[in-house]
Amino acid sequence: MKGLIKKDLLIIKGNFKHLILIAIIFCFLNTSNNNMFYFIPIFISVMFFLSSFSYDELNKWDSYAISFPKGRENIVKAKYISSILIISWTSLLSYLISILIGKLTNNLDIKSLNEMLFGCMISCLIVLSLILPLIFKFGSEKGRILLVVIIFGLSFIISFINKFLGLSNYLINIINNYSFYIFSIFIIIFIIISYLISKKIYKQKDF
Amino acid sequence: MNKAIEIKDLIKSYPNFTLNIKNLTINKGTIVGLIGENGAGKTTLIKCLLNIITNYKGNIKLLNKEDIGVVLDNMFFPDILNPQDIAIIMHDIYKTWDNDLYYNYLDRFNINKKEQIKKLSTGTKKKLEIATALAHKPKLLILDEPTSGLDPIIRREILDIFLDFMQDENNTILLSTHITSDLEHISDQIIFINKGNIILNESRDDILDNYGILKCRKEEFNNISKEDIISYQKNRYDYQILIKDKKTIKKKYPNFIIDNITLEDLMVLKLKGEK
Repeated sequence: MKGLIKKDLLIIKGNFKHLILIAIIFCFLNTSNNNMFYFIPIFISVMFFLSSFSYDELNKWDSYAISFPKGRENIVKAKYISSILIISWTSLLSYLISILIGKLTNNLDIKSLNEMLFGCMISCLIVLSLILPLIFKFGSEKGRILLVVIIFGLSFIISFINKFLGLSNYLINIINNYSFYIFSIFIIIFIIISYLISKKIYKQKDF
Repeated sequence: MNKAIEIKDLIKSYPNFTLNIKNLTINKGTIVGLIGENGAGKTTLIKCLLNIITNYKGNIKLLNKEDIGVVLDNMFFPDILNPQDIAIIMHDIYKTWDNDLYYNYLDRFNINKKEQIKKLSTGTKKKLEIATALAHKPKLLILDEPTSGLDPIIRREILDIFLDFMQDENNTILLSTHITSDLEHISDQIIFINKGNIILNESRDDILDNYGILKCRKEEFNNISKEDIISYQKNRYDYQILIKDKKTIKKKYPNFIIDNITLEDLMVLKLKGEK
């Protein structure tokens, strides 16, 4: 499986210098002092990672890799692990840059940086947990389109619940008080469920 | 176990096609050629063997995946990677991966280890695929169209590599191809698939020794007993008749010419000939 993770990282290796460049550009763009700008590279790294699926499909990599020992099992596992690794590295990179700039400009607010970093990581992991089973099932093109549909659908449902059931204040209170723990547990469960679904889909998929 | 591959009652159904292999055994130490038209089921059979297709009925037994090297038709590493990346990746995939052996093959095949796969020529890419399949010292090679699209010189070079591989008498090759002349050079056993079924499974020597083409004129055709005709093709000036048991037929019809057969003739007459 280590080999398969390396393969994904080698594919996006070429994009890594672009990512650093993008991170620097966004730092300069950050005139409004909005911490969000520092963490945009995390979202972009997810997009770069998703492009690895297109390269795989173009060269029918999956069929080839299934012929390796424990092929099917490891392909799915490797995609989850490499995506988490990529998000972690880009988060660390963005975090270090934002601290550096904060120190240089005497404008360092660690608490708000931490919150922003955590929020970005959680959002990326949610997106990945949603999209990976979709890509394994429908391929990378259809998977991406379906993700957009799902995100719009979820936003609609949440706003509907919010409007008619008025749970928002109650939920916001809970989230404000226990956000780190709630989201951490939630995301771990979410990733595990997503992985199990992907594994099941991939086990029966013919190429 | 003396068998490299054993298949029993394999059925894989699609809306317009069914692969149906009742019984197929491939012994260790043999080179087996899989022939048939496009869409006959060769690739489907190989995909079933490698678990690339899963939802089939029946039983397939073959060596451990660790001992199998594959070259598949248009299925390989993402082409933005280079041969050096392949070594980094495969080193962690096969316990038996041998970097020295891999780089030896790259040198022997004149493959630039830093060139992206997409920039390699078709022949060089094929050689890279073969080097990758051989570098973990497999005992069974499964090759789907390994020589298609290649010029005769590279093809001969690749066939020599396969013969080298067969120096170890426990090694086995299953090779599907359209280029039947390649199989006449190297194979021990020929499996002929048509519309998802095996229609012939014999040793190469038996095929080339026993089958033949009897040539006769139109008016002579009726003198040939129907039971001696496997199939025939009408040409402009003569009839070409596929026959088996060449020696007996030669005695029976001493005045007719009986030519030796090539695998290509056999394929064409079996598939396109009239009965």
